[in-house]
Amino acid sequence: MSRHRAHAAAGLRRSCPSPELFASAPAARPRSECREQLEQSAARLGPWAQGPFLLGDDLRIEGQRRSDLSWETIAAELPPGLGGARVLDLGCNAGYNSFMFASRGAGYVLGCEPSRFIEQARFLEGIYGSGVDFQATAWQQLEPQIQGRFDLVHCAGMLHREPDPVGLMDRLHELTAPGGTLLLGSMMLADPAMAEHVRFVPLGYDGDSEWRWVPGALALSAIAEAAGFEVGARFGEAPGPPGELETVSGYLRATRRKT
Amino acid sequence: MRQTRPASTHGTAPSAGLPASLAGTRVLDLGSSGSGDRRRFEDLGAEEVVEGTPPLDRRPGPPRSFGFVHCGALPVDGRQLLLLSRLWHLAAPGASLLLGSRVLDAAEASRYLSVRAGPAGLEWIPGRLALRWLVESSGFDVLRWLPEEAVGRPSTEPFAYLAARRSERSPALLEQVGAPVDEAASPAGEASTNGGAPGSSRPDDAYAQRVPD
Repeated sequence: MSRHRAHAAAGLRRSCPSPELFASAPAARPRSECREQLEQSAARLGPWAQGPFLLGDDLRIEGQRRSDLSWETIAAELPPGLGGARVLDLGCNAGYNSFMFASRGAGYVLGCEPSRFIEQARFLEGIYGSGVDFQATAWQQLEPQIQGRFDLVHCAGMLHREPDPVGLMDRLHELTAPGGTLLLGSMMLADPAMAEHVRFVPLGYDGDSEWRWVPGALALSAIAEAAGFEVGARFGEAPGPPGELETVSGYLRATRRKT
Repeated sequence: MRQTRPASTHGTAPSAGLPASLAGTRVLDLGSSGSGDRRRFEDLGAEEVVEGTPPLDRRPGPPRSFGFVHCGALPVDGRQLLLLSRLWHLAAPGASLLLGSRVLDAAEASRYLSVRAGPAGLEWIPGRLALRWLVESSGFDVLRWLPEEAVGRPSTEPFAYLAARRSERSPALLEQVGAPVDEAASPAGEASTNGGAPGSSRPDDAYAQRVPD
C-alpha cells in the first residue's frame, strides 16, 4: 500500500478499477476515519499480486504486477461495450479484470478464485459495489446447469499449472455459450521448432520452484480445438520469465463451435 | 534389435519387471485385462489382484493398499498426471510401479510431449525424460528403465517400460492445488491461480473430490 500525489494517480484512473468506475460506489473520496481502516485492511490482506487498485483520492493498492497494462491487452480485443454479456473470469485473483469487465458493460460477471486472493477481491467489491459475483470456486465445481453458460470466458495463468489440462479445457468448453468467446492466456514455448510439443518442467528444474506445462503455440491451439473451440488469432505476446527454457506469454482467442 | 510383440498382448507385464515374489501383496493391474497377467501375479503369490481401467474414475480399492501396481499402457490422452497421482494414492508406501507407455523416438524431443491428432483424439506422447519427470512429479522414484529387448513393442510405435517406487512425498502436483501461479508466467505478467479446489491441499482430499466412492 502506498500513497501518491493525486496528479500521479490521475493518469491511472482511466484504466484502473476505482469507485468512480461504478455508479453504485458510495464514495470516491474516503473519509479520514475510513482511510486508516482501509489501509489496515489492505495491508492485512497482502501481499497483493494484482494492482494498482484505486480506493479513492490518492489512496491506492500497488500490486506486484501492472494489471492495468495487462488489461489494456485484453481490452483491445473486446468491443467498446459488452452489451450485457455474461462473463466468466476464471482464476480471477483480486478481481482486476472482473471489475473491468463489469465497467465495460457486462450484464453479469462471475469471478472465481479458490485461493486466498478471493478475500482481496471481496474487500475491493465492498468498496466498489460493482456487482461482480466473486466465488471461492474451483473450475471443477463449475457446472453449466448451475452457473449457466457465458458469452465471454477469460482464463489466464491456469493451464500451465493444471494437473488435468484436458479436463480444464473440456470444462471451459461446457461453460462457454455456443458462439461465445474464450480468451485463453498461457505461457508458451518460444522455439518455433517445438510449436507442436508441450514441455513438462518438473519441480526444481532450472531452479524453478514450481512445475508447469509449457505448450508450444500450435500445441495450445490443438488442445483448444480438440476441446471444441475454433481458434482465432493469438495476441498480447511478450517475453516470458528468464531462464534456460525460453518462453513467451500471450493469449489465444477462440470461439466455441456452435455445433 | 527390437522385438515386436503381437498387439493382442499389449499391456502384458514384462517378466523383467516382475519381482521374484508377490507373496501377501495386493496387486492393481490397469488396462491388461485378459492378458493373462492375473494368473502370473497369482502364481507369484499375490494376495489379491484387482483389475482396473484408466482413468480410474471409480476407486478400485482403499487408499495406500496396493503393494504392486502395473499399468501396461499409460493413456496418452493428456491426463497422464491425473492418473499417476491417483495411482500414488492407491499405492502403499514403498509400493512398486511397473509402467509402460508409448514414447517419442527422437532423442532431441526427450523432454517434450508431442501433441498430435490420433485415431481416438488428441495424443500427448511423451519423450523418455518427460515421462520420467511426469512419474517423479507424481510422487514416485524411478528406479530403472527396462531393457528394450525385455519390453518388446505392441506395434510399430516406440514403447518403453520403467520400474518405480512410491515415495513418501506426496505428488508435487497436488501439493500446489490452490496455490498462486508465478505471475511472470501469465500473459503480460497477469496473476492468476490454478483451478484447485479450495482447501484441498491435502492429497487425499483432492483425490476424494475427483473420485467418487
